[in-house]
Amino acid sequence: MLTVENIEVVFNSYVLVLKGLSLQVRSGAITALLGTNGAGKTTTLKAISGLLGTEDGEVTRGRITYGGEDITHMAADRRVAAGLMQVMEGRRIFQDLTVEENLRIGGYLERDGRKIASRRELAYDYFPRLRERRNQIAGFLSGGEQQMLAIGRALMSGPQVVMLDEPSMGLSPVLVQEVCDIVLRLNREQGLTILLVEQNARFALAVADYGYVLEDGKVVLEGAARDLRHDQNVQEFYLGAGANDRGRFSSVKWYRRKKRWV
Amino acid sequence: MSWSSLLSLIVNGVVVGSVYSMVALGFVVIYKTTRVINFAQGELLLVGAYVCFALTVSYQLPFWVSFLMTGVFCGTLGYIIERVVLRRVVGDPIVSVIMITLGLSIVLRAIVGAVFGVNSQVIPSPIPDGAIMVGGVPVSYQYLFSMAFSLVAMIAFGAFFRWTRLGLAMRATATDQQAAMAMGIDVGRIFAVSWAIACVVSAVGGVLLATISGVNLGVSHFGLKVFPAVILGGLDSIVGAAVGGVLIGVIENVADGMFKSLLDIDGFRDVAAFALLVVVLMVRPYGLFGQRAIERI
Amino acid sequence: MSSGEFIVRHEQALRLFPTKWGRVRIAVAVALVLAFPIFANSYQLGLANLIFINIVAVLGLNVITGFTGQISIGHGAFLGVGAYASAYLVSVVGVPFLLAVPAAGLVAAVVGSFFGIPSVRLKGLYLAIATLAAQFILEFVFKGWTSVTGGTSGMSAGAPHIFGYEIHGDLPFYWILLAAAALALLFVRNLTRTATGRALMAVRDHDLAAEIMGISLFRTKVLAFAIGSFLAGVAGALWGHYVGYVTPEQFGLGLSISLLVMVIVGGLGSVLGSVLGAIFVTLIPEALTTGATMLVPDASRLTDMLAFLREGLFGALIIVTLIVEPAGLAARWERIKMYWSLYPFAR
Repeated sequence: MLTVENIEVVFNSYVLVLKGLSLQVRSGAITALLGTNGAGKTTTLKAISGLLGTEDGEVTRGRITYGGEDITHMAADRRVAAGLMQVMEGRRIFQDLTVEENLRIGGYLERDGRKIASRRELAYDYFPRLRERRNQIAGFLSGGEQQMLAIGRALMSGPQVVMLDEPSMGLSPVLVQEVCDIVLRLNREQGLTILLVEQNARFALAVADYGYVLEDGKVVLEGAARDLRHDQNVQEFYLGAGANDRGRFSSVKWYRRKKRWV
Repeated sequence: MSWSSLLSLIVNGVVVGSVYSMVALGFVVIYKTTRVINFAQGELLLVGAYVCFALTVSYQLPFWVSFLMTGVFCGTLGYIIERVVLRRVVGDPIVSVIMITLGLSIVLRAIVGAVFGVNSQVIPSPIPDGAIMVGGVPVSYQYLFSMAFSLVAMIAFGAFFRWTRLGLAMRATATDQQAAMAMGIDVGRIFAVSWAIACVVSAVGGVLLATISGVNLGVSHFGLKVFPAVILGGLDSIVGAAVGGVLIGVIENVADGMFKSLLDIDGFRDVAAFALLVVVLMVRPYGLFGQRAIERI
Repeated sequence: MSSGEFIVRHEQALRLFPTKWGRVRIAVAVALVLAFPIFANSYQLGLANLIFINIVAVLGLNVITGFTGQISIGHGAFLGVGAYASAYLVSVVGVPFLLAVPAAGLVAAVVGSFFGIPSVRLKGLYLAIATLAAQFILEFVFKGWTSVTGGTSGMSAGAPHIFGYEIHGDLPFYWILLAAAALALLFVRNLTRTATGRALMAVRDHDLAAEIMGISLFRTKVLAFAIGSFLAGVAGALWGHYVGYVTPEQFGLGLSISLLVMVIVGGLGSVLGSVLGAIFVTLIPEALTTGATMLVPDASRLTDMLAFLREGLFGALIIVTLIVEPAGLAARWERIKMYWSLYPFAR
């Protein structure tokens, strides 16, 4: 459904961040993107949602297609209209606006009042706490509630693909579990296609069907989530298992070489 | 100084202040959405006033028709200015953008001067002559009309930002541009629309001013008076801009009158607002109503 | 150009003019400026004098805005403070010219520091407006303090004497103003390699971080305003004596704006940029006037129109320059140098 073919992204016309990255998001599935800080996960999402321009970045090579259409250089608002929605890292709700106004902004491109109302009800059904706080200023919500608002806001545009960037960031384990459940329910019940970017690999691989591991702007490993869960490299570098006896300084070199999957 | 002369100073101040309010409103709209400090706001007022003047006097159109046409013209002008000039400097350092708007103000003033000359012009008012007495001071219908008109305009804009889809999108853009973009808001269009709105509001202020006391090129200093007004009112709110504008109008008028009658010093009008401003900034750096911005490293 | 020179020690990088070609270029510039009076007529000398005054003033503003990152829209009024102070000292008190000019600079520095105090707590728009307020308040003082300034009609600046000789006419002033500009250039250039200069730039780049590093924000920002207004005061004083008369109109908002234009068009935080900006912005209106009179030979009937045309073109030029080269002429110069040092491989 969504295909990224061999893209290169350059910032400030000389910093090469993505170096020929390819991935596929299948319709109705949850796809996870894993990787350390600076691996290029967020940049990949922004390339897909068209938000690179505000950061002086651009896709210089390769192409991104969505439903068969080339969207590599399409304007961000047209991608939203086409059904691609990104929930940005750090929630990025509109702090000065009320909860309800935030949701209305989410449905900005939808002009049919009934559809907006029904989507709003859907968002409130998934996140009952938002309904309680509908008239509060969003900046005063707690971190978990803000994340819920961010996801609820994304639902308002009636998207087909939702890209979640680090939804677990800054949340307690209980809340992470809650977000995890809701992501799964949205996928099962609403048939949403989800592209999930996470550093919390345990969470991501628990919900995802398929996963990609990014490093230094490239995909270094991919496979079904259950295979990745048992992959030795992923276990070692992202799930923190089996590396105990190799934590010595003398083995660092080996670790680095190993990590590049050469 | 007698009570009645003080009262008439205040009334005059409110009328001039309502024009300040309009210009300040335009300034705040641009600043909030695009973060551009617009030094050409006063020139936009000038353009509005002179276009309306040309339409009513030279082309003999009825006042309301030319008023409407002025609005449309200025809206388009603002839209074009954003598209052609300011779009290209998005993200440049703040000083450069300030210089661009200063350049813009020079160009606009020169164009108005070249087309309309340097003489003061008055738009014949549609409001009949006459006055009502308030506390022993005559207040002309014309004054009442312009105060009421600015009030209605303020309320209309408040409602626009609160309830309409576009107004909401503009507020969202003001809060977080990138997130607004991710919501499918065409941020570039919002920028252009906010310039269009700012131009229209300033033009309305200009037309009101031209019917009350006439305009000449010197009136563009209204654009500078906006700064004390918005600082007093706080940059965050439409209401603040309106209140700040009226406040500045009254303060400078009364202070000017005082200086003239008590100390025999002329020309304090242009300084009063700024002198007050310096005091305010020393005591409360973020204005009377403004919120203190918290900065994190 | 400057390729093939390797800076291997810290002291080398800290030199006033680190590269050989840099020194050659300076020498050529100095030679040209020294030789200029030989083939220049009095109109051209007058323009050069104006440029020198502007260079001093712009350097001052560059210290405030370019190095320290504090916007000042009241710089023109600081020039005025210097001009009035020096005029008063020379013509009323009878202080010698050579003493009066730096003294006027000091007066301007005191006034400038006072208006710089809000900068400790204010940023961006708020600071811009506070300095704008300084502009209006000072203008009001120039007009209102009649016993000292002569009010709206202004005052005579008094004839400057150096060691008993009266300075009069474009050529003697050419040397004096050239010396002043050269001193100011050396001073500001030198400032960039001192601890104070680095403190200013640290404040510009991130004031909170600078404060954590132990730089006193209050001291640094006020110092920047003091240095900047000192140079402004000197420029104003020289200008007053050069023109012979001081009026409030000279130091209006228009002057502040054109000084800002010079700094920004030239290049923020660049000494070379100040020079280029001063030259460019001083010469443009002249060029526009010349061009206009050539196009319309019988200009007398159209003076108003021409004035507006000139003004409009000037504004348009500011806009175009900033759109094409937001980092200023100095950045363009760096790029030209880069192009030639990499020639033929550069794009």
